[in-house]
Amino acid sequence: MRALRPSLQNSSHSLLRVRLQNCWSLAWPTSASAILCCLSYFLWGCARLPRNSDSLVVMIPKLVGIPYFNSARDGAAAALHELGLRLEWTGPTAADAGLQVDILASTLARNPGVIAVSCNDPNSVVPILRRAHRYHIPVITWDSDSQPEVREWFVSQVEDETLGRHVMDVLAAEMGKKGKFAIITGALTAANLNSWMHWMKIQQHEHYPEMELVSVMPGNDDQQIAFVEAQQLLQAYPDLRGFIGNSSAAPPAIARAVEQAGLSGHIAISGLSTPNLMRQYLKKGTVKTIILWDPKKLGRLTAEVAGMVLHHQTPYDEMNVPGVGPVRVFGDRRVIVMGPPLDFTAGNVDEFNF
Amino acid sequence: MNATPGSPMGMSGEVLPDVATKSPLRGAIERKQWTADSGQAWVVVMLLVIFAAYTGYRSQDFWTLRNWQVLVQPLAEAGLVTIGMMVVIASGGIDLSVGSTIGLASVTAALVARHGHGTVATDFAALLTGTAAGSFNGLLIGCLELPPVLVTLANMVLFSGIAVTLTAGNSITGLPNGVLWLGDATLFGVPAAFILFTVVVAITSLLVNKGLWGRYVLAIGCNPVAARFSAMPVAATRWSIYTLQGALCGLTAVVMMARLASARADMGQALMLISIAAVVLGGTPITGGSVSVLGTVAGVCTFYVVQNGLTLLGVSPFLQTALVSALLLVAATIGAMLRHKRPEG
Repeated sequence: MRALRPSLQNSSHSLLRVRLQNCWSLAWPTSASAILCCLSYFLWGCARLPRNSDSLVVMIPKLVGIPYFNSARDGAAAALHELGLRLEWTGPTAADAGLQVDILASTLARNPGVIAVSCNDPNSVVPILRRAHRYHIPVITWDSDSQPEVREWFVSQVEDETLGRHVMDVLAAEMGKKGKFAIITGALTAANLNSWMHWMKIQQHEHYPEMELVSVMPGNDDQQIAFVEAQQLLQAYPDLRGFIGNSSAAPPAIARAVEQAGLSGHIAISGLSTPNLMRQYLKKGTVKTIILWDPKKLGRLTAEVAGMVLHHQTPYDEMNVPGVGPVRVFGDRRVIVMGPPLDFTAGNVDEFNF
Repeated sequence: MNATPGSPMGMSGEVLPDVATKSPLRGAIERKQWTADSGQAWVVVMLLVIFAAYTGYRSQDFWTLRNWQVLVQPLAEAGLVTIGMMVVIASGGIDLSVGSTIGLASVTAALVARHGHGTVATDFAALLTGTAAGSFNGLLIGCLELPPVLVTLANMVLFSGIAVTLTAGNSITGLPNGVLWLGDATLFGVPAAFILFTVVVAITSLLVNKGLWGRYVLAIGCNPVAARFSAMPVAATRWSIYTLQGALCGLTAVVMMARLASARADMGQALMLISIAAVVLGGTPITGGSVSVLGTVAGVCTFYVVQNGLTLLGVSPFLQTALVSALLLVAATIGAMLRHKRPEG
């Protein structure tokens, strides 16, 4: 190597090296100013934070930065402001069970008054929530439950039975209570989706004997997959009269497939999705009614329950929550149910943004 | 010291000793590139200390036993993978399949537990699966000489595919209490997982810095062709590197199952990028040939301490990601400047 050096130094290679060195001498002041910028950012907020914050409510969604949870945050922030409590809204940037547990761990050290978490996985959070219990930090879950033994209350948006039966009712009304229909769901393994589907089938057996479920397809929460499946179903069953989209990606895909086949108005579409995904189809009339719940109200209710837990009050059945209305409370299961699902139609869809 | 054991055979007798004494790999091993790589390691340590002091001042919850007990557990998991990744990267390779290996190991272990086997069998299954997966990587890379990126990318998809199929995407619970013990056990207030991590760091540090094996690893990272001409067992060393990484992934799966009380196919996915970034942040060049254990440990600590500190300060999660990236750039820049200031020799 050393023997090679002199020849290298005489080549154009060494010129390049000299230029690089000049660059690096310029880099010193540049990076120094960058570091100064960072430091000044930190010093900008250099007041010390209070300790043992009894008025602090930490809410952790499945992930931050999606319209559904942003809507929930707005509701919770408004309610906590009225209650005189502080909200800390933090969560993983992806719906990852492990990342969420890391965030929960960091949260415990702040010793908040209440932690409210929407669990990515009911099992992974169990040890860290046990630890919270050991530290005497009350935990409630909302939107998506953990194992029941590690939380005080679960704030549920809607009961599986109510939701499943309601979706079936909406479809039956549009189909005239007879004809063939198909369901496109999310993953076949998703427990909540399967539970809703279970109640849809029961409702159909009990009340709509002239209707027939011909197929259940897994759309895997992917609009493209659901779209292809809807097209296949339309070809396989020319006499198909209805669709249920059982995960938020399915109804827009079904509506697109029905529109492309020129069948809008002839095929009834019901299901669960968000106003933002369904707005254009509701306005065009391809879809009459789409069903979900209002996450803003869910956030508000969660905040109110957090406030009650903080003040050692017990939620009771039919209690009237400001901005939400009367809610069902099941003391034996420690579950609070927000109420009936919400129908979005062309008339009211612009009132919501999630 | 003679860095090349065995007699130089084949070729012409004059050339080989020449390569062994005057080659850049020999130089790198002898000089250990002290100023360059240790320099960046110390920069990271310094930034970490500044950050900890600042956070400790602003948030009174930072320097508490409670905080550090929960903080070091995920840190230990990431640390185990990162130490393995450090050796892999030092040998000029990369392992993209670590996340999937962890997922596969934990899922296999959980299935073993579900069939009624006890703590020892469950943990052993995780270690064995991890080692087998790593060994498979090692065979393809070492013996068939396929590029590490290609092999580990393919195996990343393969392993996670197997794991997802085994569980149908669900998380598995019902692990024996003995497995969960590791998640809560402490020795003088220090979580057991962290002690495990410390021990692994000490052993790997010895292996890499003192032993013959470490020299093989660095030599292969510097120049695999020269290493082969120096009669080093290149294939066997590569195989052992990836097998070690697999075993560490299995160990990570054991610790992770204890902390999360469940097993999922996607459990380690986040650790792949963190481990690669932590190794590079610590001053180990991504091209291999040199290694900094101190820097790697500091690098992985940075990720978790900064994330924890910023959460305690109530910084938004999106800004957290940006700040960690900024820190990475600052450390890399200062490290590069130190490297270039080194006098020409």
